[in-house]
Amino acid sequence: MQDELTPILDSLKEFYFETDIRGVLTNINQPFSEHLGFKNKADILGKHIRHFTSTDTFRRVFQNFSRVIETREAIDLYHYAYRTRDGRERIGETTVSPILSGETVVGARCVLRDITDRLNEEAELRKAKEAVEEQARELTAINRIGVISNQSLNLNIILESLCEELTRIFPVRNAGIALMTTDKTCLEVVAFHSRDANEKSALGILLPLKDNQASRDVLEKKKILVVQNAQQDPRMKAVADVSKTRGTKAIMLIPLLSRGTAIGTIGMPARDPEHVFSEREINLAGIISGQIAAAIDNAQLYAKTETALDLVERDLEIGRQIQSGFFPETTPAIPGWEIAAHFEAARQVAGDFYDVFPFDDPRFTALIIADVCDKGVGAALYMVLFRSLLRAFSRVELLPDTIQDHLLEILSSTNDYIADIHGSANMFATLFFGILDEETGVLHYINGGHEPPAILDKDGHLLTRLMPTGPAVGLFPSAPFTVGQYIFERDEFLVGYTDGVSDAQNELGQTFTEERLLKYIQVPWTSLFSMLFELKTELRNHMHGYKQFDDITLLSLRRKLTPQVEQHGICRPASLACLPELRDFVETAAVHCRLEHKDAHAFKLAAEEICSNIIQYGYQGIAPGTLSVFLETDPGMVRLVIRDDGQHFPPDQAAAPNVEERWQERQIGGLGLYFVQQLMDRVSYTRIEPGFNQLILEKHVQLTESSPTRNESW
Amino acid sequence: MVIKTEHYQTASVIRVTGNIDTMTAPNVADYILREIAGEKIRLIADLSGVDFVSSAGLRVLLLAVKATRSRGGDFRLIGVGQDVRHVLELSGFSRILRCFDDLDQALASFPSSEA
Repeated sequence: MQDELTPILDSLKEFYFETDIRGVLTNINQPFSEHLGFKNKADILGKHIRHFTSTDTFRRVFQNFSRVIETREAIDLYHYAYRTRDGRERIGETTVSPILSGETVVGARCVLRDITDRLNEEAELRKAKEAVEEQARELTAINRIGVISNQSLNLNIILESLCEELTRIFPVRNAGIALMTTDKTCLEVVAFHSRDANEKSALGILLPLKDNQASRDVLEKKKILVVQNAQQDPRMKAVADVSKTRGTKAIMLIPLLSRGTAIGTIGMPARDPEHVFSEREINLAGIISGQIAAAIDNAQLYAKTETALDLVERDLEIGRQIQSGFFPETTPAIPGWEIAAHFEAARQVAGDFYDVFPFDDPRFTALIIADVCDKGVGAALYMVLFRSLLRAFSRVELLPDTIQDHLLEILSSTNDYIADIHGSANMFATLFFGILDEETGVLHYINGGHEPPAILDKDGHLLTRLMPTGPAVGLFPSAPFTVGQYIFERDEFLVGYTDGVSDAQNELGQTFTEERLLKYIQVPWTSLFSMLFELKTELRNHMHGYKQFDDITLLSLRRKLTPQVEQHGICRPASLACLPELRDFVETAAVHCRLEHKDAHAFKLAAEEICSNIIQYGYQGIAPGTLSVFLETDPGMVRLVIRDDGQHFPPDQAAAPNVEERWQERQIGGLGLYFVQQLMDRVSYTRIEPGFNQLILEKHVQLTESSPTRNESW
Repeated sequence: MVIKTEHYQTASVIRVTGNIDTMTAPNVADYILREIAGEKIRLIADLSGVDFVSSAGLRVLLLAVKATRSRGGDFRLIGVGQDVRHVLELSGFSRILRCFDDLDQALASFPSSEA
């Protein structure tokens, strides 16, 4: 039978062999024989299988054989390690079954498939997969360190988080970051995290470098050092006791390098004292320490910049405060004239300025608007110099018949001083300097290269512009200036401005332009204050929150029609959105009229309450119209006039709320009109047909001292 | 108008920046009522960023006082400026609302066990 089967067995891809119960080969198919290195079957038949069984697995193979013989049951698919004639180790997937003769087991037969290559491939795949996973873990770790490093600019917070992260990435018990002290004699532990909540923190501990060979090595060689037994290594003798107490043996010390200089170390004792840090772990620690050092660098740089910026900011703020002292707090009151000014610095300190001050003979008042070239601190310093020179040279006694000469003298002296003494700085200012004679209405002026102020009549028609009468001041010594003259008729007004107004840009880069400015002001105005308030609003709307590049300065002067009365007014649509503007107008107009703060607030509050009532209830059922508010001063009396075109709406004689009531009883409502009655001395309502309501609120007030001398802070 | 809340152990501090007037009062009222609905009934309003309060603003403060006290809490003020104080006095609210000079005093005025 064997002979019949031989060709079949020899044609199988699987390997086949039989043994007797001792393990001696009694049959083998040709493929297996050749596979083992025996071309001729006869050379291997009769040999014991141990000759081609791997030594390591022989015992197991023998046990399996014995089991098959004893139990007469087959054993399926076990890995059989065998060896070929030339010594190659292979693995076969084997099935062993008994050969029976009647009831007796006489041997075993095995079918075997060589799976060595498959196993090797699998092992390699596994290894590759592990390597990729390991790499991914490392990348994640590096990434997390990066994220933590950028989470905050507070160094302590960053370093604490980093230590915690290190204990997650590496098989370590704790991680501590120590930085070199400024005298470079010690390392100070600035951050520490332990996985063992009971471990005492090392935070704040100073490690003297003198006795600490290991740390010194790390700092000097700028290389990672792994000490296998910190308790016995002579380089760590200084901390041997601590190592014993904490049970530290294997420890990794990593240098922190900032632009090539060692600034500190990271210490990480292994969780398992006998752990041997792998090359991968050491490499990873090197990469991570670079990130940590960069984070420390950043935070320290940031802290330095912050301090420096704080100092600059503080200096600039001081500068701003000093400079604001050079602007008149209020414009001096000149009987029969109205003066209004507006100034808005683009930065903390400015190069623009305006000034209004009386001469020794109070009949004459100086009016100046100027723009010192350049911006920032340099311009601000020169602004102060220009202003002081102009004021100082103005103090020379002034005789009425020599106003022109005096004006020339002031400008020439200032010009020559700047050009001669500060010539190297190449600083100059465009400036308009006028001397007003309040009695005759004559304005003598020198326009040193400045935007020509506009003169308008009471209806807002442009009459003329006061063109330059000389070059910018300070350009060169002995510059030729001439004096111009304008005589104001009643109700004519002057508007002077700097190029910050015409050049004000919106987000599209479009400038406000001189044309628009001149067109805007060419309407009748109740007052200069109202005009500047509206112009300011117009400018703000144009810039629409866009950054202001240049200082904005406006100065205006008007010869009043009725010298006694002052009236300021604006109109707005009857809409809640305009309410803040209306009340701000009333407040600033009140301040402009020299009301005390408390009274200005009273008028502001009254305006808010009345206007919000009108807007909310005066136009029910009809289209919203227009509200106008006027603030008027008579000697000892200020009047707020509010006009609207809403429904006939006399303010109720509001039942005075009981202001003594306990909170439970206090009613919500009725307060607004109560306020108005409390704050004002007289409230009167008139219906003016067709279709206007007029409410007049009057209050007796004490005006603050309008003494112009307060501006003379030489 | 910017409103922010900070929570402390004894009370929550609502910091208001801007004016409390006809325009903004509804927003402030909504904000405070939401806090109260969220069981924040011990409130301190920091008005140091508020320059102007109109009668509409006062109505909000009264609303807050009523809503907190009826739930066993209170609504107190710090950072009250000159103008706002004037309005509180004019309306008699200064007798209803408790004002404090600083945050520490205001926080200490609430019993800590209630937190």
